[in-house]
Amino acid sequence: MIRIERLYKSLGGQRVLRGVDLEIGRGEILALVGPSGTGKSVLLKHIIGLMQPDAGDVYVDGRSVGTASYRELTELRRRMGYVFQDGALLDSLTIRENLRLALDDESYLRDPSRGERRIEESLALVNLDAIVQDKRPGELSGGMRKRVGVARAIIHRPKIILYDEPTAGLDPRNVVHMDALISRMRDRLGATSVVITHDLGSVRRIADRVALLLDGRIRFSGTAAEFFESRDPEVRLFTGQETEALLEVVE
Amino acid sequence: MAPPTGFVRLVLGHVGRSAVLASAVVRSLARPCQWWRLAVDEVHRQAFTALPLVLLLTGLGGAVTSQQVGYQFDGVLPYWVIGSVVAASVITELAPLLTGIALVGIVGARIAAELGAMQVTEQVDALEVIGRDPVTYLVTPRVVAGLVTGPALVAIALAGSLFAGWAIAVMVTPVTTPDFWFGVRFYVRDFPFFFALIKGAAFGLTVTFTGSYVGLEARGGSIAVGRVTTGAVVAMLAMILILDALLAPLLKVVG
Repeated sequence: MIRIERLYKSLGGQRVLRGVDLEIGRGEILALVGPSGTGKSVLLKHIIGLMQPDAGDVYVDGRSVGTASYRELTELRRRMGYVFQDGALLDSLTIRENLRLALDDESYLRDPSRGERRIEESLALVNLDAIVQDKRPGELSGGMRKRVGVARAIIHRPKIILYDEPTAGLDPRNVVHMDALISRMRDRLGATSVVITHDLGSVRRIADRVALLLDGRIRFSGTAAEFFESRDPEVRLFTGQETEALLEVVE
Repeated sequence: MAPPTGFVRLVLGHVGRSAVLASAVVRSLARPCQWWRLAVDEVHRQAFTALPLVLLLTGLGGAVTSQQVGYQFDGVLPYWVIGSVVAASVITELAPLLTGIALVGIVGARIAAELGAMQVTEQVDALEVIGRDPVTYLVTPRVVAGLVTGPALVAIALAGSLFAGWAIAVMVTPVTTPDFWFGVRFYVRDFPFFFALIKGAAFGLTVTFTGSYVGLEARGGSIAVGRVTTGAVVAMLAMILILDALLAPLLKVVG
């Protein structure tokens, strides 16, 4: 469903992605892990066409994202949802207006009650009361803002959802809630999901597959079980096993 | 040919990207249903936030001019000339320029900070992802509003500064009210008024476009927002003064 081929990208003179190859199957939850600043968000932004690659391309359902026209990209994005790290909700609008903005004007004006129902359903899917609709993003907690971000991303019932660190900064209870939400989106909508995370607990709970991005390339790609059992020292360092071994030696 | 140096590349980069933004704004004008409501809200916001400072600056400008003319021409020229000089200074120069400066401080700085913050918090990316063109949604309404607000504020500023000039003139110089307004009428023709409104539109356009462009250039965190806001204010002030100098010959040629 999503195929990334030999993707290269430099930012500010620094080579961030150095030939990324990756495939993500339909209905799969892929956890994208890796050290900070290694280009995970950059990779996600290439999938949805927010960034143009220097070389290589991303294909969604066989259609090139890198060479898509503005109209084609808009069409492609209608089938995708993107959950930003801090929600990226428009501060000046209420929650309802934020969600309304994600709806197509033409279909909303044709049947506003259907649009309003969509807003309520999306909020219900992320376990938020309708009462938050009239609040502004600044009046909500970080966890609630993230959930509104998810509600906005799923309002079109997308077939692909990209999550940029959805559990970062959340308390353990909300982390579990967010993980359950990601699994629910897959179960209810059949959505293919790519989740950037540093939380190994989340990886264990939700991931079908894991990809480790290191030095601009995919160092590891396999099932979650394979990831945690890997003998690759870089993977073991990331999963904490190598660190424990090192600490034992030191002690 | 040798490649351009860092500074030249920087300038060319800004020229190119601002041209791309300008063409996107022009293209979006063809879809008024997507921005006109936002533009109406923005006119309201720009006009009411800038009006107090515009009145303060232009009122003081009119008052100072009136006093200076009164003192310097005392016993040299008839007193009604005070009205003519105040009108000439205020209409062609002071009111539009001080309105432009007020727009920079109140509207331009706000737009740069607002769009800069939206850029660094990924709100601009979010708009694009949900299928909204950020230029149509964020830039076009602000620029269209600037084109409307600029001349409207200049018109109010003209009235305010002439009124302040008259009030101070009759208080501190021997000129009478009929003489002052005779002097004003003696100078005033249609074109200088029209010229002042053209300047207002040009300043409104420059301030809102530059504020938007510089704001959208923000990269990084809150420090970047502060940096682009300061940069935007400096750029807008410089552009307004350059524009003022470039427009001056127009008055001479047409007026």
